[in-house]
Formats: sequence, structure tokens, C-alpha cells
Amino acid sequence: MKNNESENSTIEENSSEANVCDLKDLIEMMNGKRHLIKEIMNTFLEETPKELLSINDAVSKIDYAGIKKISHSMRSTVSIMGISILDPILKEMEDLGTMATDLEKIKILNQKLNTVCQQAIVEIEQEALSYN
Amino acid sequence: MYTVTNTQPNTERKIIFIVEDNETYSRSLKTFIQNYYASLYEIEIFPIGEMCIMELSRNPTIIIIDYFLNSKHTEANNGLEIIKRIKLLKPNTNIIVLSSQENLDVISETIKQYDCTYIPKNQAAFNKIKLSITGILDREKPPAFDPMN
Repeated sequence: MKNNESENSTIEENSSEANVCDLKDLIEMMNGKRHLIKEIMNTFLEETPKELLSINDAVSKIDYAGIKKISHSMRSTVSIMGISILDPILKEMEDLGTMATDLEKIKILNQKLNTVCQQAIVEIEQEALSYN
Repeated sequence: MYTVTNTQPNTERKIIFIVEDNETYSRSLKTFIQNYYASLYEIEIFPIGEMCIMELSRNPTIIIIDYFLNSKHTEANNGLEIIKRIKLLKPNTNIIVLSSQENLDVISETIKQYDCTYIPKNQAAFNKIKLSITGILDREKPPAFDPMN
């Protein structure tokens, strides 16, 4: 339990101290074209809340297959926005979903996922303003 | 004697299908491809493999497909089933398989059996997809015009 609390606080501390998104690769992929980068940011801002709702729903219904599939899919989203802190979290959720085990651990990971995604949304919203 | 050599990939009338159920990823990939190949005839996204199968009569040159497809539509077939059906109906279609699946044994069997290109979904994926598309379009380039022949 202490370990879990410690893991949580580390994520929260890291999240508040530094940006969770690294847009370097996205900017490079789009050759720095601001309208394209803005379009992708807008897609992220539209889709991420829906993905969070889906995974929260799967966790609350103890739907391991759903947890596995949604966490796997979200790994694609976080790779686009360079949210590397989330990849091991989503990978662990996917693995636990596959094994249909350890709901308590899944809940803790899901809480971290929500915290980091909310911070990512705030960051991208702010960043998108500078792309107007 | 002179030869007219076309150095640009042949994008005229070329269609690319993207079969991917993660909307952020598919829309980003479409934007990325459009940015590099502005003269492509069409790039279409399908969130479900079955919808792509129904549109195969449009003869896409390349299909980029996620191996793990049914995250949102649980009743939909996974990428492997869709790849089998594409190759049965249109054996000459070029298929690029994307996946963050760690179990490479399963995927490498599919790649060998159905002659696909595999690209892992990581930070380098889009650039690898670009190289793969360029390679495919170059192969399909019409032969250089030589007025002496």
C-alpha cells in the first residue's frame, strides 16, 4: 500500500513539475507545419476524453477484455503526443487485463492514467492557443 | 539519345486505405501522408476492417492496417482476419501492418505468409511508413520514356 502511495505521489509530483507531453517528434513529423500540428492537437483533445470515459467504464464494470483493448489502443494515442510516461502504465494495464487479474492494481494505474491525461489535455490546450 | 526519367513517386490515381480504430492515430497518419504525397488521389480511413473489405473494388495500392483492430468494436474482426480476406480478394495489394503488439512470433508468421511489411507502432513509425510508401510507389512507377525504343 505504501509503495502504491509512493508511486502515485511520484507521478503527481513529476506531472506537476514538468510537461508530460513532448511534441518534438510530432513537430518533426509534420515538418513544423503549424496548421497540421494544430489539427492533430484538436483530434487529441476531442478523442482523449472519450477514451478515458471508455476505460473508466471498463474498470468500473470489471471488464478485463475491455481494459486490455482500450489500454492497448491508447498506447497509439500517447505515442503521437510523446507522453512516454504513460506507455509503461498502459502496458501494465493491458497485461493485467489480458491476465484478468489484480483489479486493485488496475484501479491505481487507471487513476494515474487519468491524472496524466488531464494534465496532457491542459498542456495541449495551452499549446494549441499558440498555434492560432 | 535522351531519356525522360520520372524521379517522383507515381502518385497519380493511387489510393491508400488506413484501417485503424484509434482516431487520433489514423487522422494523424492521414495528415502525415497527405503532407508528403500531396498528389495522392485519395487516402481513406476505415475504423473497421470489414468496411475496408467492402471498398476493395476501388483497388487501393496500399493498405495500412493495425494488427490489433477491435478495441472499440468488439464484434469486429482483428487485423489478421482482415489481411487474410484482403489477400484472398486482391492478392496484389501492398499491405503495411502496424502494431504495438509485443508478441512478434504471431505477427512475423502473418508477414511471411501474406507478404506484408511490418512496422512497430513507436516514435519512428511514421517515418518508416513514409519510406515504405515511397518504395512501393517507386516500384509501381511506369518505365522511363525512351524515344529510341
